[in-house]
Amino acid sequence: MSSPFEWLIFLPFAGGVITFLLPGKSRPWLALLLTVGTFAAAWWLASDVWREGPQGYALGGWEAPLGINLYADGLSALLLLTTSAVMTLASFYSLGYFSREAEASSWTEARAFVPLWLFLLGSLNALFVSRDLFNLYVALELLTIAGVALVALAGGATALRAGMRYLLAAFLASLLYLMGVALLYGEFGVLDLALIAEAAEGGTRAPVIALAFVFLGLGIKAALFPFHAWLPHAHASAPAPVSAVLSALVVKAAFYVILRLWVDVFADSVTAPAAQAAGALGAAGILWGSFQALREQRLKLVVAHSTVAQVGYLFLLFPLLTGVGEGAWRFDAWAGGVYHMMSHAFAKGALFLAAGTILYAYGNDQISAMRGLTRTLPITTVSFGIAGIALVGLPPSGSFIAKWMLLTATIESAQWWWAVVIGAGTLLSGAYVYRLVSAAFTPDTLPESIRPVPRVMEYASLILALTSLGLGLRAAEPFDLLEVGAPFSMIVAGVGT
Amino acid sequence: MSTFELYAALAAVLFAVGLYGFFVRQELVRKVVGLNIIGAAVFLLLIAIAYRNRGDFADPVPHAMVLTGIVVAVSATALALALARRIEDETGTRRLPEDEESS
Amino acid sequence: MLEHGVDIVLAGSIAVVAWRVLLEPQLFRSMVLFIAMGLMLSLAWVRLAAPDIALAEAAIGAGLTGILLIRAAQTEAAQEAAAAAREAATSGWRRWFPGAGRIVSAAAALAFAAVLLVAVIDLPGEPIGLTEAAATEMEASGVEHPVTSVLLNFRAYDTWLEVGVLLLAAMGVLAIHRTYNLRSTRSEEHTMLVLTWLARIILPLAVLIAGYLYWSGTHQPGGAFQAGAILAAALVLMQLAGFRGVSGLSTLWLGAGLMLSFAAFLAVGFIGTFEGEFLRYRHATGELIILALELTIVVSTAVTLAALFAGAGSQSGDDSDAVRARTPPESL
Repeated sequence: MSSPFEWLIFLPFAGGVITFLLPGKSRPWLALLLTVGTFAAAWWLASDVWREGPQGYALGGWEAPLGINLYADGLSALLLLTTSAVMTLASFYSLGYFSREAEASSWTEARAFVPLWLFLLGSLNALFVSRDLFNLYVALELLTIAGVALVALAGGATALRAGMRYLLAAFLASLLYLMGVALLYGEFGVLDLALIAEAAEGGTRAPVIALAFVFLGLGIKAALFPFHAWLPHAHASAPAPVSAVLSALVVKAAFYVILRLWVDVFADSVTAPAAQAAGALGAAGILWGSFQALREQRLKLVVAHSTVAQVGYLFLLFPLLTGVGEGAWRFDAWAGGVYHMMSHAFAKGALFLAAGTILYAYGNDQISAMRGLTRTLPITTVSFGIAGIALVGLPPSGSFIAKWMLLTATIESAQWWWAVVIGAGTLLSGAYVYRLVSAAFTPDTLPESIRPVPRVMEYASLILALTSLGLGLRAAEPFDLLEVGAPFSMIVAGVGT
Repeated sequence: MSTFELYAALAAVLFAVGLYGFFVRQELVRKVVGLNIIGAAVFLLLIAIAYRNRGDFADPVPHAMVLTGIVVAVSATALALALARRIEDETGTRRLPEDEESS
Repeated sequence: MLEHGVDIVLAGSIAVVAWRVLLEPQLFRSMVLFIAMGLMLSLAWVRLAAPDIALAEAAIGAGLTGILLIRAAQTEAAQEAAAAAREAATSGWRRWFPGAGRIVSAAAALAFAAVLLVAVIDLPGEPIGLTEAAATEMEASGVEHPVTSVLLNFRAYDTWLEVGVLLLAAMGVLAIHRTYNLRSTRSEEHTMLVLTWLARIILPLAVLIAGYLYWSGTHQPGGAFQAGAILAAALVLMQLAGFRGVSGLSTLWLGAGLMLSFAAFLAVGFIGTFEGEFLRYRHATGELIILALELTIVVSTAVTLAALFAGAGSQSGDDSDAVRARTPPESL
């Protein structure tokens, strides 16, 4: 086991097996230990990438095209770090969340939760290092089944229905993706992304229809408007740590596959109108998701609708990559989108954990019931505020840098209309975040009974929120890492790869 | 029309039939059947491509993909049916209400 | 030309049966037609030189999926009428435009089919793929059957994750029912004597067939998943005949059965890293390791599929009495 790839795959899956078979209350602690270990492995891989450039790995010693190869560049490394960091903190949170004393049901929940949780981590890792079209399908499928099971864990009609909708949408999406993969295999005769990229270079063999199937399937999984209808209830009715991870990471995983294929493999096959269309759907998602978030009465649903909006920003990067001439703005658009992915992962993770804490303490998550939060749950209120800042994209958060880069790209690529969308989205998110924060600060009579909240829950969301802020204060290293193996360069002279 | 083209065309037809069923039918079980028909369409295309690629034997890689796909499909189907069953236990019906989607 | 005629008739019939599956108003019959479609697809796989897929389709795609669906259809049949009445009184814009949803759906489905046809016609007609590559490397894989060499050596990583998907589905079903074993599942009340008798005959036969499929997978069509599915079918039959089957297993044994194969791949992968890469096994030991892994696949597939069947029809442990009172009696 001398390669970080091995540990990234081995640790979470081995943990899933062990925690499923072994009884005992040590399970959540073991899960925590393994997420920390996975973070260490991600760090190891990131430092290898940093020092030596992109890393590869041939499973079973079989090189592509016959075997399955793994690959990690700066993008993979950053997303792996984000994944294990968010899941580690969410694991801390779950120590408190599932420890509700003397409740048999929560004990059952916790028992089923830990192995599914570790399998989810393993499938995210597998996905972020995959370089094979079909292996990506299997990883996406693992992710979906684990996600659906974790949503349904909450029990009750709402969660079950939400899980069902999620499963139906994701099942259809997988089949659309697989149909695309079948067509691509018929065209290129290989599954390895690097080999396909070679064959597709220049755009003489542009499998437009196959790509349409692939991107449609992945768009459904990434909850791109108008394929987002499954998301809000699925994310809102899951147990809190699950909501956090679904919104922070699982949706991004599907987007990551789109990004990889669009930019790294089929850059010469995708057309400018397709990029504009992707951007338009993203813009519609921003407006629709924000609008719904403003209307919702339940806290977790507000946060879930906001995910639909935030995913919309990611799709803006595709039209911004087009444009006439050479320029650093392509790196700005691409890296800005990726940084938004990361920053939103931490901010949204923090928000969902904080929302879960409020639900835990108050017994419901009606916004109108949130009054007096500053006195009852001060730490949670602070993390709510910080994460809110990051969500809106105010300085000094990571989202501020991300949005700034996207805005720069809109101007330099002469596509001002996307700047209008970003501006409108920022105002709308400001409005729904303000609505939540003002409710929290309303000094009102306190609710009669508040369940005491384990401290670990409050601190886990605070640390996540602070990280989303820290990404704005210390951005140099992440961007240097991101540039390793990137399709675009920070410096104008290096552009044109 | 070669054998490859014939079965590839059948894949397109099955895809449309399954998709229509998935959209139109409201019962969860029938939606799942629709998805399984779409799955059959995908598998058919893969196997037809494997047949086109045959040398001494048909291309084994799409065959392995389809075997995986069949196992994945039965897994998702079973999970969906278990969910449908529990939804019925909780609500007395196996359909999803339509108005929830708009929110 | 006659050869081609067979394919045309087969393809036409599959399309017609698929359409009938959709149109058939009675759910139970629709499911039976679905199984028939699966069996016809098996014939298509044989025509397309894919005997492994034909076996898997018959056993899993048509067989077990069909049994799962029929079981689901049985309880639903009673509700059909009430639900249909409710559908007639749908709310919203659908009431004003009856059939609009259907027309849009049909248009979308046809558009997809047309686009797909165009894409298929655009595909290169000449072979392009990994047939050659697999043929060259097969000797180093340890087995003589190309599909097995891909499934258990070249792309063993995918197969491992596939076993993981199956396992996760079972874990998900258990989680949905809030239970860790299937002991709370309802045993069949009205057991027919003929079923009991049949189960006694079929079980040893299934073991025999499964063993043969498993063993032959290294050098001819067959394989572990197909063998596991046959065993699972036998376990399901036992359950229908009133025996306990997988629902008699304790939490630990059920868990072990579900996990066995996934854990075995994990262990083999781990050992492989001492020699080179994760899941590396070539040359001399290749065949032995593949046989061992396949054996675990047989066991885990059988246990998991049978557990999925038990779980898809079962009542949850905690509130099953209250639920049973609400559930309409089974017809058919």
